[in-house]
Amino acid sequence: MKKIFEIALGILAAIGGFVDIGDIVFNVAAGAMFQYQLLWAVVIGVGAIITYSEMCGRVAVVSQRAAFDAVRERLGFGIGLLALVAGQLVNLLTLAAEIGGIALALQLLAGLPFRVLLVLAVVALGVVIWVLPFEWIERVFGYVGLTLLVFAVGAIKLHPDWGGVASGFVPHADTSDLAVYLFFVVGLIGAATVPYEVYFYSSGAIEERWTPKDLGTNKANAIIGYSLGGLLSFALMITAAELFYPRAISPETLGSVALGANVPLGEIGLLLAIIGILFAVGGAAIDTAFSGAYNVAQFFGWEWGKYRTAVEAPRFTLAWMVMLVLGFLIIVTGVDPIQVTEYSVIFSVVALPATYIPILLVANDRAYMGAYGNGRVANVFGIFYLVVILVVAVAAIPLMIVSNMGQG
Amino acid sequence: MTAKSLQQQADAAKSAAAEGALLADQVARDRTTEPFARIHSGELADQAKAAAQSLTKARAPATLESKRREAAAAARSTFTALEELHRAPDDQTVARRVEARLKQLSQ
Amino acid sequence: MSGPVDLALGILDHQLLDGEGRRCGNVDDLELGDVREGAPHVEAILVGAPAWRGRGLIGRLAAALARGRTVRVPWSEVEKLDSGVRLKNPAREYGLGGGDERARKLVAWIPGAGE
Repeated sequence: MKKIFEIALGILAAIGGFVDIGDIVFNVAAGAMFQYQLLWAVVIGVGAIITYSEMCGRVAVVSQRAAFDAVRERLGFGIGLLALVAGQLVNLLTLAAEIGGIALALQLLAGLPFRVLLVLAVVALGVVIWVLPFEWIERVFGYVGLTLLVFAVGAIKLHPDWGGVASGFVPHADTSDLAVYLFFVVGLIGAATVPYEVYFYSSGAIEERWTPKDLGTNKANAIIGYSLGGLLSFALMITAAELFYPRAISPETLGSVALGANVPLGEIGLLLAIIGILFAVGGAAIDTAFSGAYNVAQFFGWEWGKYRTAVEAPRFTLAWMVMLVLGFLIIVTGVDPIQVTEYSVIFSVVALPATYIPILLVANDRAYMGAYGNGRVANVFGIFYLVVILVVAVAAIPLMIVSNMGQG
Repeated sequence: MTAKSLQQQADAAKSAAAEGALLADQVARDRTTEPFARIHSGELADQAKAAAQSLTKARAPATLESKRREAAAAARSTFTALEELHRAPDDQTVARRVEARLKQLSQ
Repeated sequence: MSGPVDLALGILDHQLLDGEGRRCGNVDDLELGDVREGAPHVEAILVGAPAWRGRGLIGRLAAALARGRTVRVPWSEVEKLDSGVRLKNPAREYGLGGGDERARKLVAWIPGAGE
């Protein structure tokens, strides 16, 4: 009974924690531009993150190596360092986008000036990380992020064409703008598979001292949690498909996203949506800052962990603080957070193979994994998604250029 | 200005108008909060303003000139309507009037 | 005491853990000794930024940009190999963990930094 309760809690946290600013931006934009036609891309993305997270979690538990331990061991110092630098740059860009997203959400709630809210956001993040115990961070932000379910309620209330929705799960492109369509495919898969989520998950597995006994629970968490999180992405896309697509509206701001809950559900929908966005993106920001600190500490062999006190892992502590400050400095320059989000997702996709490949290799290494190495099922999915990730990584930048960042 | 970029700017202005109409409708029915209506109408007004400036300043070939002028005027009207909403984000009467205007401009 | 080289190559770039289980760096390079049984044996583990010089072009670049000394840990200090390379004694005795010592001073003045 207790086990079921634990699984349920873990799933709830995973659902709320799945959506971040990249998912919000790309799913709403995709719905507005292509109606239901890109729902299948979300499914591919969710499948990728489930496969990748499960492998990463298993590797972490069995070999006691987190993601960047594995990267350095497998790729060596030189290439591993390049992977670290690339990963960190992407992390920073993502973090900047998320800090901007938090400030945008706060602005829609309170109406204060944006730059003031940026400072408030980064200070609040720092305080929360410093004060709140590790388990509570995931839970609080995950659970409150569940208010994003308001978009699911709103989407249903808008009476979508369910036949059209169903056809969206079959890949087809009924559009003259193929480059833009493919750009969104890349963006949606990229938004679902953001690397920081996987680094954070694998380090968290070691932090929380999962044993091989816990692997079943955590497989369930990953599969059910991320799948249900995918439902939130569907809800965002369907809402935009119903509200924006027929009116030729091109959503440009977070306000447009909130309007998507406001129209079907009134003021209460609006407030729940903004709060959900605030906590989902806030949680993502914390995961990203930590992921940056985990990566650099693991690569160089420093002591790391949120379960350590700050004085036990001082360089790790300084690392996440520096991440927050640098992220803040990027976004305070006045760049549009929505644009930063789009770039961060595209660059994430390009950098993804650098961590995916070492994890896949380690997951198959019997010397590290013993009996828990990849079985046939894990490898079928693992290799399928390796191909998907490589194709998407190679196509990302050309598509970004040809489609003019999705503008056509 | 090419035909394509003219169309893109015109569409951007119409998008702001259509979205503004949705927002104005919510304000008219007292279904939003003041900060949200103020901030979002301001964002949409900025979008319309950018399109209007681009269309007004651009030089178009003779064949497109009348279309450019029309689109520029529409974008400017869209901006004015959205600004009005932005200045009175909880006035239901203003919102109802603005909504009707924006609905026209979004066609 | 030294160790067979293929065993040691297997530990290159692995996490170092001291006698108390604390992480204290990575195996940045290896010091090779005389040839025995047809292969060179490993005399010691090298830890620290200057040790990256032996790790390729990128290693040399990184070593040039980073500060630090190389710490030499004799092979005889290796207790066992599992998820990391476990050493027999606390980090301080080898001169490892210095980076965290220095960083500790910066962090310790914030209230709630812990013991």
